[in-house]
Amino acid sequence: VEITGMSTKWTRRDLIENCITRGLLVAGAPALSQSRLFSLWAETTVAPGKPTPTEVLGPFYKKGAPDTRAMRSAGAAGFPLKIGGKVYNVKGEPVQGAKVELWHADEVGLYDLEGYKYRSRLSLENATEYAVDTIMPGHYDDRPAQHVHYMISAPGHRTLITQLYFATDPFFEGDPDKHFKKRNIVGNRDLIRPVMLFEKVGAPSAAVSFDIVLEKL
Amino acid sequence: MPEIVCEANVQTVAFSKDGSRLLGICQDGKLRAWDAKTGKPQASANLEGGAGSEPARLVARSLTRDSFATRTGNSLQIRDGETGQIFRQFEDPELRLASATISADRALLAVSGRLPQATSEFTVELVDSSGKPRFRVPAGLGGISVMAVSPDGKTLVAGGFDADLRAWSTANGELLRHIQELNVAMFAMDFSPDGRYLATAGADRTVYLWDTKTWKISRKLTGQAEMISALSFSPDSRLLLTGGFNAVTLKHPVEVLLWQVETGKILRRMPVSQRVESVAFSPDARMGAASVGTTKVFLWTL
Repeated sequence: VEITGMSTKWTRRDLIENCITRGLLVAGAPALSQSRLFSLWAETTVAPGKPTPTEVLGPFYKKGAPDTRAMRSAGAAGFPLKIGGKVYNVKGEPVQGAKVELWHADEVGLYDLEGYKYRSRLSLENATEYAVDTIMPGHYDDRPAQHVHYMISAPGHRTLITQLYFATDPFFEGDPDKHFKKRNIVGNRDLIRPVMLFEKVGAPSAAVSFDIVLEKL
Repeated sequence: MPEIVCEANVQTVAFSKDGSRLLGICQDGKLRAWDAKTGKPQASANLEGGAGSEPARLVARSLTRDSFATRTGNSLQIRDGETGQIFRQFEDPELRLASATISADRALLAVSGRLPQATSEFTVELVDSSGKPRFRVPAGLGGISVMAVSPDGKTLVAGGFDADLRAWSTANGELLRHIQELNVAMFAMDFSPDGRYLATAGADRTVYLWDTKTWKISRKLTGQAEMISALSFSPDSRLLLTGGFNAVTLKHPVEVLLWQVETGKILRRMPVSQRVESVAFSPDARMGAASVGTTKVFLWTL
């Protein structure tokens, strides 16, 4: 399996080794179920008090995305990725009724502007957690760091526009702390999230937890 | 036809009023000129003025292409399109500047950006000839990608990355229209010089011609294969030039298209080597030009 970027090709082994050395990978993961592991992982990332930093909307937003958790179709090219998290207010209380809109490029870095591939607008209603099944976005010329765009709104809260980045991205050269300011692409180190890799023979996958903290209006 | 390679990045091109020269505003703070027939370089001018030590950067150009606005240090200047001389100078607005436009009569400068204290909200500010802001209005969360002032100077229009189109009265900042009909962002817009249409185009490869009386879509022009980054009406409002870019690799060859406005017909497709930054007609619309990639300028007899 190869994670393919515009200029760098990393094998999955490179990526995993890199993750382990950076403490980004929970070693020995197969002993636990994915969901259990994912929730353990997620619990460590809650940081209420500070609203999630904002990022630009970007040029490739498209209105009217469907409400779907299954952004990845069966057999789709690209590295399977689960993204999930909770929506909080600055007091650390879970927020209900949020609309979480996500969109990202496909495995070669292209946005779908004809249809709604890799675009979803989730209505959480009574829930406070969101989760999607998608793929790791590709790289493209102008914005070479892999990212997922977010727009989150909730009643009584300020709408948040932001982006999620991946600590495993070759763009960060194995050290996001050192390289996150490279080329002024990433606005805030907090938006670069650790990636957990699952070693299932023949079907490796990744998961990222990204909690959202909204400000009150 | 000549293909010009400039020694600096060309941000935008326009023809001189007499059509004899092509003018390019360059990233190194120079206004360069080329012979419109032969493409041979002529005298260039430094864009002097402003407090900063950095070169003057283009921030906007007028509908009629005979003036443009630059930023140096912490001021903005409106300049003559042929000489680069400063007409008026403004203190840089408090906004973190994202995009700008100027009216055809050079009296109005509109800027968009974020206030330092704002989190996600963008603002549009109109500065009039007094040099002071006339109004400041909210302009959505996504940021403004492109703006224009109508030929009569009465309406300011802004297209957002959120795909919304907003129109304000330049007199008082009243929001005249908030059009949410489009799904994707616009990267280019131009009013027809006769004031009948506003053309917008962007990520969905389509040119929308808006009737400026009703603000309804009068026609959709399809046929450009790439996302559209540049657009210009001919001085007689009858023709359009558009140019695009490939979203994956900006170095991919693309096309400049010549359209007939009334029929929506594509009259000509002109291949160019890279992303199109700007397109322009000569005053008699017999010639067209495009700045392409970073340092190239293409010239055509239409």
